Amino acid sequence: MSDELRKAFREEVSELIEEAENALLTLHQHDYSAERVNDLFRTIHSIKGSCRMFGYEEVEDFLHHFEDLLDSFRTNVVQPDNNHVSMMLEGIDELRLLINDQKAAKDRTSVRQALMSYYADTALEIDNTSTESASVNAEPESDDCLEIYVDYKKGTSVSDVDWIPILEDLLDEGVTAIQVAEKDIPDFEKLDPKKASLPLTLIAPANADRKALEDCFLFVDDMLSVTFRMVKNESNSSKEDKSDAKSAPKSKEKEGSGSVQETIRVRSHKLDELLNLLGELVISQSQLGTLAQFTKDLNFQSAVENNERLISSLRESVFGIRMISVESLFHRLERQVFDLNRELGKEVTLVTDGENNELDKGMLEQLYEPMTHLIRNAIDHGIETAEERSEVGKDRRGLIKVSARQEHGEFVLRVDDDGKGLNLENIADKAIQKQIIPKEHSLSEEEIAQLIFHPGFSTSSKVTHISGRGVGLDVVRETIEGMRGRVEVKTKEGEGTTFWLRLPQTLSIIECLHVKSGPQSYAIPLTMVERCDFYSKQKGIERERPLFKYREGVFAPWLNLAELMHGEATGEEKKMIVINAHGDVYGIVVDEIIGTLQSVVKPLDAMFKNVQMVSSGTILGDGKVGLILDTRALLERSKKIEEKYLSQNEEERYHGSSELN
Amino acid sequence: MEAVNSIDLSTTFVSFGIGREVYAVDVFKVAEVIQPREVTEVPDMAEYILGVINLRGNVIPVVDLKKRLGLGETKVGLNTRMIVIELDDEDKRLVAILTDFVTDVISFEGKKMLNTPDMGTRIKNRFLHGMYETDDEDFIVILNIESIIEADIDTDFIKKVEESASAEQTENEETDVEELEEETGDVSVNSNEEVTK
Repeated sequence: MSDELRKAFREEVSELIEEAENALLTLHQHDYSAERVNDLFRTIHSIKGSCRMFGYEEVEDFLHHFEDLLDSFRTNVVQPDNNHVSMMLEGIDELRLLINDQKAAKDRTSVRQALMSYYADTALEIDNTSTESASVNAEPESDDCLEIYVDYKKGTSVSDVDWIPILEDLLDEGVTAIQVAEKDIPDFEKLDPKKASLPLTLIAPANADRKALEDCFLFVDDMLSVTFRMVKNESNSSKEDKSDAKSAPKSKEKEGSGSVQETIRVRSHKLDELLNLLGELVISQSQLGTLAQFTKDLNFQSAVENNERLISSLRESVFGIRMISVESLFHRLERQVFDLNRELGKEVTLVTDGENNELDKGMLEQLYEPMTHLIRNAIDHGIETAEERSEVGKDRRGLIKVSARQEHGEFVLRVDDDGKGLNLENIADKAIQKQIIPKEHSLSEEEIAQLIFHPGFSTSSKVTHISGRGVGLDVVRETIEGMRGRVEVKTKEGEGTTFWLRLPQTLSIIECLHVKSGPQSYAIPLTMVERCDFYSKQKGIERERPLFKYREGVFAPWLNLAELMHGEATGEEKKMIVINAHGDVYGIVVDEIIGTLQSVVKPLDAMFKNVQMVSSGTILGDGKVGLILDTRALLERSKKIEEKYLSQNEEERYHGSSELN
Repeated sequence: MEAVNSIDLSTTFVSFGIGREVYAVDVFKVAEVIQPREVTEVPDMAEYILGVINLRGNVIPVVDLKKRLGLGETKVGLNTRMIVIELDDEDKRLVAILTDFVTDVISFEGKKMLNTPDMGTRIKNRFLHGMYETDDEDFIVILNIESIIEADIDTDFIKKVEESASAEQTENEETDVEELEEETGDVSVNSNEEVTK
């Protein structure tokens, strides 16, 4: 079979396996229903079918047992417990291995055998327990029914039995339905033509004459095995589900948990190419726009404007392609929490929020490792055991909440746990020990907490990361900062810890305000900009007083961009841009505001990574490089200035200034 | 003078001038040579990192090699060029270096590269691969461009004390040259003045 085909097969099956895993976890944690079991069954069935087509016989065999177990759950309407789910997840892991790494899978035959036996035994167990409980309820309700299970006895050949008269009799006596017990039909390869097999299930109302029904089989007593059993109402409906499911496999899209969406697979590099070209187009358009300003031809100008609008829409569409929802990340975390609970003996519930939020695919993929690490930390170190928790009056079950949100142009992932929080004293001590901070430090609580991200702080002595350093929070921070993001942590001892991972929404194009300070151009992300004001001495903004009147009764700090970037003001400052970063307000004073800019983000070389105030570069219409400012870093700077000023002018802090109007 | 085994170095180089001296880099590391163009300054960086330029849509840093080696400051003239170097790392980063002039592509095929003697050059040995003797009995020093550019990403960045809002450039200049002196040892630069030619 060609490589291409094989690759396509693997990809498709891998997706199905993901679906199966999610369905299993959902089934277990949130939504147990016959429908969900059906979904899972059908997915496994699809996988089995695909594998059969592509010659993966071992997988087929394995999945057959898996299916049997699922069928037991389905038919007997039993919810799988922790153990069952765990063993099935193991099965899914083995399945992944069989598909993706056949060499490694070869050595695991005994593991699979063990799982298959477990599945077979459990299936049997469930069937038996249900049968027993069904027959214990001796009083059949009117909606209960009698189920007659018929099959050939050993040694009987097909021609021995004349079915028609028998069935006619049965129908006379009240049988309402005849079904084939599909699962009991042996596979074609395993079929022994000498051994006849036709497992049938006949349904009769509960009040049917049992003796009369039995008599129908009188003459074929030695050829057919007949079993009677009373079945309760619910099982009846699940049988309907069964027949529905069988008769309408094509309608699975409607019932299934996924949405009906046509998809088409595209190789990533094609998409990257598309994005590149689009970026170039935006730059080119920017140049066109600059040139158009100088013509007097209004038609030309309007055509260029139109172009700009179209390109803007195109840009949004294309970037939307690479955005996928964080759902897949959340699913991954759910599986992880399940496994960790068992591994570490904890009881933790994961609650997720905002799974519809989207993030660039490449960035999302980079988040898996850091998130996995944070969750593991939370469960391992953060959340106490059930006993410990009840001792301090907490809920036995620990809670981890992961939420995704868009906040002012940033994608924010937040992880809350209600564990025991970080011990700030220990952290500070350790940092002093490792000479990361001096003994007489004046770090705030937040700053101490941030120390956990410091390289060299890792508690682990094991070096497992590929680069040779321990897997630690420093790697988490590096990964996030590598995407031009930030990590923050807050903790309350005894109550829990919160992590924030903040990322730019895409790495690619930001709408900005183009400003000038002296000869240099800068770009300020528009999402943060609230308004633009005039800046002049007449307005009462003195250089010595770094606060301006934001609105009635409220003052905010301001920064001089030229001073910040070059060390001194230009003297030509005329405008102020007011930034509002979710409640935090400050102003940036510049010479000129040129206009808006669709800035294609060009990352800066690694040597600039410590420059806080600039996040990246962009190509301006005239071909020069403009620097895109990091409004968050500027905010921090402005806050320091404000604090310093207010500490020197205490009275203003409390009374405000009445000089400015 | 002993012969030196060159690892991964070809025998063909691009030679260029800094001040009155001629240096060279491996030709395979040179992506292109361009006319100097307008540099956008990036704050908080060492003096020898002039800023960034636009190279066909890519934003790449510019290093004043003269400043980096503590030999003064490049003044842009008719012959000044920017050599775009492709570094040997996995990202294939591009960095432009500003030089006073670029001369030739020279081949030293068949010749042996020699060790640079400890005196005679004003640049630390780890910045150099070695040198070749030219046909007219001159010496061209082969620069280890990676070590020059990669050397101190952290000292490239000037850590500011966050007391004041404005940058204090003069403080940085001193720090910069001082650090260079520490690491090279044999740079004949005084800590408070630049070398003038």
